[in-house]
Amino acid sequence: MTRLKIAAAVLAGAALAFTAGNLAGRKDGQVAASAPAPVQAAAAQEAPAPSVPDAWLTSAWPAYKTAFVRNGRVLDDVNRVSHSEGQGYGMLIATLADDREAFDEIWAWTRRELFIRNDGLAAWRWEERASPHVTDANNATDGDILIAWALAEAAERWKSADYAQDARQIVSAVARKTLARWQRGTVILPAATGFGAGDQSDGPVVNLSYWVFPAFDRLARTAPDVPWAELRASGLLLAQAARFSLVRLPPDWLSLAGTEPKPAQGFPARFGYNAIRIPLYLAWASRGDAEPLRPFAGLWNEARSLGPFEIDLTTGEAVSTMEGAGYRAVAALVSCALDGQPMPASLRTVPIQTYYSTTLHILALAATQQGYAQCLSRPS
Amino acid sequence: MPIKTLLIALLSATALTLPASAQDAWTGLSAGRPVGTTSVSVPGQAGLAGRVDEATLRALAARNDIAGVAAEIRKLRNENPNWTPPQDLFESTPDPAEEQRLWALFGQGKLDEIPSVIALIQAARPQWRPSADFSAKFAASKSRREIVAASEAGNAVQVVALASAQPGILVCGEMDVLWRVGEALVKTRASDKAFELYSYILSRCTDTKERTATVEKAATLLAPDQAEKLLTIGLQAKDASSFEAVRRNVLRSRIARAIDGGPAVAAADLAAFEASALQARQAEDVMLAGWLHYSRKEMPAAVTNFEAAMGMVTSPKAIEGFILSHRAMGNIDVAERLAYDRRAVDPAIARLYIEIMATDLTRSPRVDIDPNRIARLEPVVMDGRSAVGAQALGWYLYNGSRFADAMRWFKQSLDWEPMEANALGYALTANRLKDAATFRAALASYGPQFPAVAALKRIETVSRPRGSAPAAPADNASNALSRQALEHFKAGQYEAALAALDKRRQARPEDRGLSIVRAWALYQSGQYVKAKALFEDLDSKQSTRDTQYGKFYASRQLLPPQFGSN
Repeated sequence: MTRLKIAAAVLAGAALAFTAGNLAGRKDGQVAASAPAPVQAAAAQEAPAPSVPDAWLTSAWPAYKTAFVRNGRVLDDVNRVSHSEGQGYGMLIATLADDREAFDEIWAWTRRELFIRNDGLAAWRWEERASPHVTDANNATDGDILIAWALAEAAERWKSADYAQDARQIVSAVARKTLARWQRGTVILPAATGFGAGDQSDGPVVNLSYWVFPAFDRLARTAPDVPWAELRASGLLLAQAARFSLVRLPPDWLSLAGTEPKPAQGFPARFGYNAIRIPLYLAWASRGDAEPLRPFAGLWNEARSLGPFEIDLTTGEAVSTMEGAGYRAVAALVSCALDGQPMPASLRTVPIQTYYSTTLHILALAATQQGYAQCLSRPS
Repeated sequence: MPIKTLLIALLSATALTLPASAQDAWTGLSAGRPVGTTSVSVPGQAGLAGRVDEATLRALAARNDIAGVAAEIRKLRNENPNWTPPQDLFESTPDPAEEQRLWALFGQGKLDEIPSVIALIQAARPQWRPSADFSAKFAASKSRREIVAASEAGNAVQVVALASAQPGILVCGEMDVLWRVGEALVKTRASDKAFELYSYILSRCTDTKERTATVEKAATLLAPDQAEKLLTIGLQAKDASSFEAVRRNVLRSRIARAIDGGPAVAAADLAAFEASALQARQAEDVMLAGWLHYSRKEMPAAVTNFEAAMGMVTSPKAIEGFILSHRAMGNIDVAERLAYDRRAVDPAIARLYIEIMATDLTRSPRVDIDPNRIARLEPVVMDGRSAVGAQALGWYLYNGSRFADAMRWFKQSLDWEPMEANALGYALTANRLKDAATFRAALASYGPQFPAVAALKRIETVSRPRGSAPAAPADNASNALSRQALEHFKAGQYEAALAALDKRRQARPEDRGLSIVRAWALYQSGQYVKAKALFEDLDSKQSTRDTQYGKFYASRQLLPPQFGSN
């Protein structure tokens, strides 16, 4: 079942009064906790020199473009829509692949088609057959953050102040419109409207996979006035606290009505396609302390070909296997970060599968290459 | 039966002649928890769930195999539609992720950090407890560390007390701890308990190397008859053949202890040892027997042994033994001739030659010495940069009223190493030469350091009554250095101890006791390679507890992670 279809099913049953149903199509995440290192430390670092794309990416990227990019629009083939998240991922991978032409094309489409709100955030969903194409004008905060991250990467790679300026405008809107105070820290709301304390009975409701930790590190250099350190800290805290059932994993959606996070009532209590990104982002920005990843160590039992699963966190029961090499690549990244396990050979090249799996696969390999290159040099 | 139950039994059986604190500690053992009788209730196996086998699930959960757990729950629910994982399963199963973090710290030896991490986890989850397995291993590891520390610090009472508080650590898998506890028992005058501990190891623990080493260690600590009893137990066991070699080692360590002033070795045992060593051409053993004779002042027998050893191997120690034995018999000529002839074999022989000559040169009253003997001594002194030799020549010349020549040697000696003897000679000679400036300068330079020199303030530049200078200063100086070295060592100032030992060794050969201090000081200051070499050398001459332990620890510190430390 796809992410959007699950969301639709939930909506049908729960009859929420606003656009949260649409937003449920996004992924959410948790972060395990350790003492947050100050973001200033990252801000003080020299920006790493842009790297030349590796062989796996130089072959994956053209295939990715062919499969999922149409005149600057990134296609979520399973859900048959485009969205701000996909645009952000597309832009980000284009910078990794050093493909400025594609980057500009995707960014131009994004700006033209999605940045139609008057607050500096992107409308999140776009459908080709609908008119107007934007079928939900609410934003999706992870999409905004991903787009800003890609712009910040592009600004450094191609020495463009314009991209940096665009990135700053977006994160400034994010800071203005989507941050909220929770009793234990500053948190990211999934959208500008619909998730606050007054919007849902158990609000505020958050999605931990919207804490894009590696983006925080990069954006701290571009827009240091945003409280990235606080966001990093709250994300790590939530990751530590939000662990449910025998598998002790976070659900896609969390209620922060109390001091302890709980699975949000309006959504399935499920570790799913949102939350699978949490370990990806954690590993990508682990800064040498992989411990927060520990809860995700057993997502995939390679020997028995089990998982990664969507897991019902009321029972701990496997709901369905996440089909796609990208999910296994995320799990392999976790094993690499925690225990130095080499990336399995079969996952070192990227087959074109679904938009989401393929995207996560590329990102997992990029994170491995940037932070754990030894897992790619050693034989698996 | 686990080893601790036996210990509880044996420790509580009789009143011991332990110091009160140690005895309390031991009797505390008998009040320990009963062993191996803890009943374990397995939650989730009663009631409705009685039909559902949750064992696999628990095992998967304990391994943090999320995919396996999720799949197993799905399988169990398919097979038992009414079953849901009981809440207590969620609650009672330790979080493997959190536990893994503890294991990681444990594996890195960061035991000190574990309590704070546990507190951190519990702050977030008050109900959380580490698994019984982890708790037990952590407690054992902590005890081990504490016992090792107490044992290293020589606090035997504390070792015994700690072992009593954590009897769970007294198992075959903790042989090092067992050995330390055994040694602590001996030191707290509970040799019988130590004997039973060793017997227990022999009857329960299966590693042959550890079993034989146990007997060898025991032999260095226990009375000979107890050591023999342990050996007999070993010789009756399945791995008896391995104990044949131990038999010899046991005797070896008994001889070594006898040399150090320990219980005497029966003449028959020594004779048998000697005979077999000679027959097997075991030079080290022949020498060991030689040193025992030497310590008993049976010099002809000592000479015979060292001579035999010299015929087997080129060993400076054999030569040294031969020379020392002859010297002790009064055969100074023989000793001096051999020391001179073999001076190139080892610096120690050259030093011994110089020492023999120095004794003669500083004899009181002075005796004339054949100028040829002095002529051949001088280059050896120069080559060896021997402060002792140079000052002895100075005194000989001084006592012969050849002050200008004496001055040259005293100055040379001081250049190499200031000692009371050469500073004193230098100042006195300046006085005799009526060189007031040099005299005052000598007092100013060396007075603060050497009281004997400071005392010269009272003499005037008038001619002293004729008489020889004391022959003792060299000894005094080196004795002072020995004391300094020991004080530094006791105070944990290992580098300073080494410096004092180095100074002293330039003056006089280092005896075994000081060499052992040197070896531990090297070890303590992280110079494991040197420590290991010295312990091996000492152990090869005479294997004692110190040399064996020293070898063991120095070798462990030589493992790759620490290798760079030297």
